[in-house]
Amino acid sequence: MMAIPLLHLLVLGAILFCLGLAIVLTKRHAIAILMGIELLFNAANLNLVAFAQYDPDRLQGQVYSLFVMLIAACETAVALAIVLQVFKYFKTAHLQDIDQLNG
Amino acid sequence: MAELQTLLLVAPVLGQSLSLLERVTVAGLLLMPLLSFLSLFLFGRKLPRHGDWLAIGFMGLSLTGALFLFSQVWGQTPLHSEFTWFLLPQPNGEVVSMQAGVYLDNLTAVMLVLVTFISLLVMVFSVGYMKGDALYARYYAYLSLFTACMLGLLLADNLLVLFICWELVGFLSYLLIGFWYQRQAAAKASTKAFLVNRIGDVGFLWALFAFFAVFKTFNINSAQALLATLPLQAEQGVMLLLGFGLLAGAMGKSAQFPLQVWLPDAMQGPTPVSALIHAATMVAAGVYLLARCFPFFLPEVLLTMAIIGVFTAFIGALAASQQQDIKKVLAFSTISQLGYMVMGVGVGAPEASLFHLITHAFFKASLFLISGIVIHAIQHAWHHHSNKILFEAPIDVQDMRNMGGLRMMLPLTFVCYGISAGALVGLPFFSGFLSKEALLLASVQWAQAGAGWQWLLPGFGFATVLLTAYYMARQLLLVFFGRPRLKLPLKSYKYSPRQEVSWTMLAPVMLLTVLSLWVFFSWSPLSSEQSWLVPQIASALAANSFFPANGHQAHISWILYLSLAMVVLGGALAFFTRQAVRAKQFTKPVMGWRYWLKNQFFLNEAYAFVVVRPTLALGRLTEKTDHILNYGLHAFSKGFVAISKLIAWGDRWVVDGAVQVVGWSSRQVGHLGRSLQNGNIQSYYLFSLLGLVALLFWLFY
Repeated sequence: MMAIPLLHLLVLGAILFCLGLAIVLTKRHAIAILMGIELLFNAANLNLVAFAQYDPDRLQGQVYSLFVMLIAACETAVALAIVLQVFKYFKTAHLQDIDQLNG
Repeated sequence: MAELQTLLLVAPVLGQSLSLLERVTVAGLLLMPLLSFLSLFLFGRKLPRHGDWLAIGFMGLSLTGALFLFSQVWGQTPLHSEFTWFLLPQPNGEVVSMQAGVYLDNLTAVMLVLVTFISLLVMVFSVGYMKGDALYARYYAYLSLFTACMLGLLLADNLLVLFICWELVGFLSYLLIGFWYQRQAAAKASTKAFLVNRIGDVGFLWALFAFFAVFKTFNINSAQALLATLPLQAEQGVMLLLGFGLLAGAMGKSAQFPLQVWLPDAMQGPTPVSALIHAATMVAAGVYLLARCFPFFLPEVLLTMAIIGVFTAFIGALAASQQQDIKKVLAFSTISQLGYMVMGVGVGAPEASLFHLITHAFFKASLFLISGIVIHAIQHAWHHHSNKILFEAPIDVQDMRNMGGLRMMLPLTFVCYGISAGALVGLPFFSGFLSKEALLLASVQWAQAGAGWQWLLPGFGFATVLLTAYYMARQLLLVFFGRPRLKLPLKSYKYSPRQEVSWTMLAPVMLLTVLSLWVFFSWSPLSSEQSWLVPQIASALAANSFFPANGHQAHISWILYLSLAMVVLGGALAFFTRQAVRAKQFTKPVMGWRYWLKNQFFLNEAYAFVVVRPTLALGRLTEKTDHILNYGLHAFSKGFVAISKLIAWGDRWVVDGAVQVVGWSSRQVGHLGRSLQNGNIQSYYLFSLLGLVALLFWLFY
């Protein structure tokens, strides 16, 4: 099997990262932003997996990306809980409207 | 009480010290009129009858005190007490102790009685005369204060205290001349009297300086004692200054030529005031001063004094002979008689001057009070007739052309007037004859001892006797004889012949008139040699060692005949020209030389031209200079305002601006920083992203 060249993977990861970034910066709803963050995680995971072809014996990249997914799931659980609490308090989940720390 | 206290602390220097009773009396004498002044001035309007009884009562007590002092002093050794007034350090380290005190001798005693007596009578007279005046209480307050100051002037043992009292009586005279200050003439007359007196008082002040420079004391008696021991040849100039200064002071106060112009105008005051101040007491103070200081005068001063005196006597009588105002005649007569007195001191007979001062005080006060009655009567008659408001009669109630025939309406007043006028012209059996004869005798003796031209002086003296007789007879004929020229029914002279005027007005006049008879002054009606008064006064006065001819020679009998002849001549002149005088005075304004005499040779106008106009011109000049200076100052200040405006602009835009720029920029920086912390989590994220990008650029380029 012919290995997919590294450049393709990196470009895909970069595209994914940019998409996630765009979602994070432009979306209003907190949950949509959380989704964007998931895209960013996945872009990072793709990089980890892509660079793992230089270490075929120990598969450190794949293992590390599995950890990332696990941590991301936990983080998403916590973040959703926070979003719920925020919604309860502010009656909105739009991040632009929540600017109490405005200096 | 301070006065009493200080008087009790005194130590004697000259003469006997005063006993306790005498000290209390002196203090009371001074304090009682002062007390009545204070109570009337402060509470006069609230007292019943506006407090005239208070003033009269206190004055009666003062008179009693004066009589007591008279009884203690008359013919005895003089009494003197003094206390240390203040200490005066000298440039050479010495300290001169200034003493002040009272000196009581025969002269002081008799003057005290005179002043309190006439003051009392004038106050009683004023009850009727000033009735209903708006400032009735104020009037009595002023009279009381005047008397207090006059008594202080007489009691003072030194020239400094005398000068203070001298100024005070001058001030009271000013207040009383201008008593009816609503009349412009009265206000002007009071100012004039005050200013003219200032000229004389400058002389007095110089004399005080000279006196202290020579004697190092102001005490008159101590200085007299020093006079013999001083090297006076060396002090000639200062002594001349002293003499002429005192003479100038006396010329102002006693209305001598050329400072006599204030006295005729002073007649704007109430008539009783004229009687008290401008006939009997204050104007005589100048003569009193000259007599007291007689030993200090050098022969030059005495000669000047004699000439000024007799000249004043002569021109005063000339002016009196053409007046139409009843009071003006008496005013010029007073000037004339004061001239006699000054002449008397000048020819070395101060005792004769003081004798004339005393007799003159009685009959001239009487004449003035009588003129007051006449004015009062005319005023009431006119008021009754025309039912117009009092004091607003359209006629001049003092003008003799509106009088005539008053002997029918005012018979008692007429008799009193006749007697007092007789005393003034110097008829035998009246007091004025004795004193005037003494003065004329002294002037003749002076002429006999001196050069030939000195006979001019008694010559003018006798001519003045003639003029005096003329103007008094003229006044008598114009006022009391003939027919009433004011066409009023007889009954409008309110008072029936039996009760012509209230007794409070008539009694003082009668008392003064009786005192114009000879018996009160000398047993012999024709000679002052037998007078009980003159030797005692002479004993109070020190002799003048500079005076060449001071020896009193024998009685010169032709003086009596000559002066009598003059009186008869003057009287006859007035009597035979009476028709012409009445006709002329009544119909035509006086013209020619009469006009000159009436206006005292236009002396007032001359002063207006020579002194007043240049002074006013100078005033206007300085006013203009002031304007120019003002303008300059104004421009200067404008410039300053412009400069300060510029500086203010710089302050506002440069200095303040710099500070504001600093503030503004830090504010902007703050804004910038603040805008980063906008609370929006997405923007934070964007910023950190940009930061990351910037970091990467920095790392790889």
